[in-house]
Amino acid sequence: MIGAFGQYIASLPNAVLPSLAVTEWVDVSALAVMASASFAQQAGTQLADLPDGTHVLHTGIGHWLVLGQASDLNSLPSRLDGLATLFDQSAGFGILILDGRDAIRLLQKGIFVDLSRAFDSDTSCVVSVIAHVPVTVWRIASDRFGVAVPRSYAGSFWHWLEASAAADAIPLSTLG
Amino acid sequence: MTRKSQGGLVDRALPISFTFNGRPMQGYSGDTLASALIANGVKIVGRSFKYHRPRGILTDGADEPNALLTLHRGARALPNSKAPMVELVEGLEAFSQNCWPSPRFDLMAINGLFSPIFVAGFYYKTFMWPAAFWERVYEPLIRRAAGLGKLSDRPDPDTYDRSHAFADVLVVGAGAAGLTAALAAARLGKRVILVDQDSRPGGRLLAERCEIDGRAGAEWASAAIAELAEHDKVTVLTRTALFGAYDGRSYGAVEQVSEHLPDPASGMPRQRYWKIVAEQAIFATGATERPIAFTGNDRPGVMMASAVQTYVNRFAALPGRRAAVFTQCDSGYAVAADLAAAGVEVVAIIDPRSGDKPGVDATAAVIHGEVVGTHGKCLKTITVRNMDGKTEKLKVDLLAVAGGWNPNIGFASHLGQRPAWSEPLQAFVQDTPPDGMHFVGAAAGRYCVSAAIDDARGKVAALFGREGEVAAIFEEPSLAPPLVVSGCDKKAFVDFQHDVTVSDVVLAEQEGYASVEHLKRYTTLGMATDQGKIGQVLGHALLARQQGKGIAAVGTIAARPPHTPVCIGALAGIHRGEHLKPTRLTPTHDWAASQGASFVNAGLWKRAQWYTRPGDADWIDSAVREAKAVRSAVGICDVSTLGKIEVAGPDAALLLDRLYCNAMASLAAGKVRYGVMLREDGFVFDDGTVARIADDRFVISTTTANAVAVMRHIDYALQVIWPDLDAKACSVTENWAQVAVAGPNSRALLQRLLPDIDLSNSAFPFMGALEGRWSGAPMRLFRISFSGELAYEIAVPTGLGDALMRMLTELGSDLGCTPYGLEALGILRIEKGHAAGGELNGQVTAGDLGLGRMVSKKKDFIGRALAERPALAHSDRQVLVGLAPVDPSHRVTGGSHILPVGVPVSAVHDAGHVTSVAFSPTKGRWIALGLLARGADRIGEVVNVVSPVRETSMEMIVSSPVFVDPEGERLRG
Amino acid sequence: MIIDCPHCGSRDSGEFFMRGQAAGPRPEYADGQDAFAVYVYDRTNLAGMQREHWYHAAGCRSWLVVERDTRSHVVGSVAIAGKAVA
Repeated sequence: MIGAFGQYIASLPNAVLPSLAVTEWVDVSALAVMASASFAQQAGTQLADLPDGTHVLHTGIGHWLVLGQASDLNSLPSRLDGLATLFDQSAGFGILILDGRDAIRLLQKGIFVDLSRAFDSDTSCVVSVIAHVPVTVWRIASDRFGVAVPRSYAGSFWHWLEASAAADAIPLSTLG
Repeated sequence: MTRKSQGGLVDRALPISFTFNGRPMQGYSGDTLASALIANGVKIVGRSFKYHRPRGILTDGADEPNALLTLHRGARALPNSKAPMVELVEGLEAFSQNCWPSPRFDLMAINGLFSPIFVAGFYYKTFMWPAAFWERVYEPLIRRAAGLGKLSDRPDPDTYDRSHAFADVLVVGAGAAGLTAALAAARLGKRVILVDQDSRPGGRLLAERCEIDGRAGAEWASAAIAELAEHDKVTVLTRTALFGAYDGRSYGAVEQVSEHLPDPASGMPRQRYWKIVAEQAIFATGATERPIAFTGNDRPGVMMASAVQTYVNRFAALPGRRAAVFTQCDSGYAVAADLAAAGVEVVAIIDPRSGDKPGVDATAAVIHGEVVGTHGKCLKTITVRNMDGKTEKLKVDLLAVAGGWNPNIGFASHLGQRPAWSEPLQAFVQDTPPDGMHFVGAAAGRYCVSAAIDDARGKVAALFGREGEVAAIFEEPSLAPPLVVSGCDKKAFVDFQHDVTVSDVVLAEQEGYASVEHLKRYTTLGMATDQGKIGQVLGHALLARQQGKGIAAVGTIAARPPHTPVCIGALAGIHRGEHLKPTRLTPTHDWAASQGASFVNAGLWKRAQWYTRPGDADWIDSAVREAKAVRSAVGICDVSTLGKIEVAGPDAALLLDRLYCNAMASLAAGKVRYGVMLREDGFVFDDGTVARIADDRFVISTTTANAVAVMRHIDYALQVIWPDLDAKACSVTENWAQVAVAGPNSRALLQRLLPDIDLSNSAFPFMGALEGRWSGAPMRLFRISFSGELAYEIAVPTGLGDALMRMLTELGSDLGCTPYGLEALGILRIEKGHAAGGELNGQVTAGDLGLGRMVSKKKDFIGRALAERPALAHSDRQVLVGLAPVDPSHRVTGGSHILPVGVPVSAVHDAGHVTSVAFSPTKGRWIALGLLARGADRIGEVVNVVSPVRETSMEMIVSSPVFVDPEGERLRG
Repeated sequence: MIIDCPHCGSRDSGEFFMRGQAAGPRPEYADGQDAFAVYVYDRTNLAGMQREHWYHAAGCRSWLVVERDTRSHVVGSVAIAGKAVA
């Protein structure tokens, strides 16, 4: 399955050690997990116990967006039975990974939230908007960020990304 | 010689060529347009707004009222650019405004002869009669004569960037105080953003000959900037003007990114809009020098003293050769000294203050008196009246005027704080700024450099609680009040840009415009692009004097954003043209485009409206062809844009019962039901389908337009109204591509797509729902119909939507499979009397739509109580009907109003309106749906349907809204 | 305006939907139309601090009770409208 951003990434040059590389995470499994107040803590405990490479994003009160390989997430329905309701969101996002020292600089340009304070915990994420496009942003590693964009908005989000990077003379590239 | 061969901060090794009104000129790197014009001996730069008086450069900054020039030609033209704010760049073309053929010889100067008529309130007193002349004669005349620059009227070819930034401290102004504050905060490890509108930091340090710690001011500033560059939590933005202070400690600023570059790189924006949030903001914005009102104070050659200092010291440009200084504060003496040091002959210092001035070194003869007149087209002589009343004439070509200082506190007013008058400073100050805003240095009345530096240092220490730092104690100076020389005639100017004179202010006060707010609107004082920076306080002091009050009692105007003009393009950024809002594309968008679809905006979405095929004469042809294909064969239509919300949990069914007016809890698993949601006031909110895919899981659909509103409504119900319900709701609109497959051949087509699922009528009857798989992925199938034909909607994960559409097309090629768009969708649902946007207008009830029997009487639901209000069930209500023209050749106009025949066309007889219109291939004529008073009782009646706006009228027959297959047999087959 | 969402932190007011003055508890059907009319229509239209229902539409989708001064936009307290605990 081609990702929502496939045609845009395909037009980028490969680069070695770029200040900003953009790739897409396709074939993601995504689950929205919603727990009631009384079970939120237990649900959180279950979610903390997932394999590496899984991302648990605390998107709201008692709400998480869980991203990972399908095989890593298939234990969740039974483990969260009675604690939370699950909704499949696997097809609804285009997920970009931004790598490099300019990743946070570019994201901060576009998002009206103080990113220097936003990623304090393992499950921190920022659910907000960039250029009127809904986004969920989280930190994967020190210079690596994930951005989940509702699929229908992919083209408009890419337009912002290109224009904003060009305005700061940040060349866009991808990792080969 | 108007440029010194040495000195100043310009780089003589880098000459720059530019033109002024077509005349080639030269300047240097580091020049502003104003300094370069002065260095080229230009005295007259334009003509004033009303009287077209010749004007020269008055100031050195954003308060400049005269040197308003248009830069560039064509689409990039930028009118009303203030020459002192423009960085000189190679190839710059600058043009005067408001004069023709040239500033030196302007035919419009004839206005000056009519000056007795153009007094304050001119527009309010004339052009009143006759009323008919106002729109056709007076307004066009005034428009042609008024205005300063002209817009290019062409699309803006430049790009503009936007950036958000967060800081612990925002420092506004990089003069002595600002640099000190920024350094102090940086050394404490704070995140600092320092902005300055100039091309290089330093503020007045670049203009005055002063020393800090034994170094020249400019050198000290460069060292400060170098140190700031070493702190990686510090951002220094030059060429960046703050324009507004807003709620929540946020600020707006515009950075000139490529304006100063002769050859910007591609992709580089012209300007960048910064939205900055800062916990603390330190305004080191300096002070603006006040003029003095005296006869002829606007003559080219009369300049603000501090500006003269800037041109002489920073730019080595001499505005004259024989100068006088008219000053009522000590700073004017320093200007005289700087002029003398630059080789300009200083003929006299005219100072109206009596008494000794300790610590002031007079480098020229001091006359205790006032200037009462100026003469010459450009300044040639001045008339001085000394305190005994004797007058003398002095030959000078430059008069430097120093009338006192107004601290630049405007930003505090952006949030509503009113300034307060300070008697010792004889100026308005901001004693109670909003939370998070602080004024230091000259902006707080600490005018001398060392006081400014101490003030800034003390402020940062106070904010961040440094132990051992003691707030500095300042001796308050005693300065002179704003000065209006007595005996001014009509040519003593207060607002230079709008040509408002002393006599205008006096006249306004005599006519009863006694408040500063009235004075402003009546005289237009302070309403030009300088926003009163130069003359407003002077005008208010005059008003106070006329009323015999102190200026503290009269007050002044609170400034409003923007502090300096902002280009709309900078605020828009990338959001222009097709990118004004984001665009949402359906999963089959590319496929539809390849099939010849024309797209329409449905909210943020682009939806296929029709598909053009060879033989289609116009869009109606296409839509009709598609609708016919659905009724006779099979059509496919992307309906992914409709909202889809999953509702799950033990109380999911109960929640849906409470949201919909009809029963939902009774819906069996594997079944779909049409539902109508009401608002709590009893009117219809939205409609859609509810499918129960498991005991505790439902999928509901909403209209495209209401998807967001319904999700919000459900969240409100779950979180606020019934927080004890054990149910959750989640939008899955983006997760599924959903395609309608509709028509007599739809079952056959889907059976080919899903060979392993029994789709016979008995196995999968009308209003069924099933989950399965297609192409290795989850799939949902609903047997529902908007078209009135045998129909289904199939949902697959979004990424497979394109493949699904292609497969359906391939499998259906011999079944007459036809893609159809929104127009055909409209034809089909109008023929079936299904309500959609035109009918769901927020003012109809379920009963109005003929759905009264759906409304449950057994359960509680949102809207139940108020829907039962007598007026919402009244027999006179306008209800849904069908309409068809008596003459089959007539085309109905949407929005037409329905009246009985035989009565005059007036609102009194209005009985309803047309809500939806389509050409019906089934009926062979245009048809409509409408809302008609007592419509159910008027079936068969002929009515008059008129559109006064489009001037159409026709007779139509009222019918049931269901034009096709009223028994619904085709649905259930 | 900046709203301090209990879950997301300080956010620009543009991320929110403002429903209006916080409605009281929803009446029962048996309480009658007058009670519902008050619930749906009656608002006090204060010049001063007002309790309002705001929805963090572009963020965590929580419904919040926000105290806002209608004259100055100064925001007082922000609390979750329902029973959830952030």
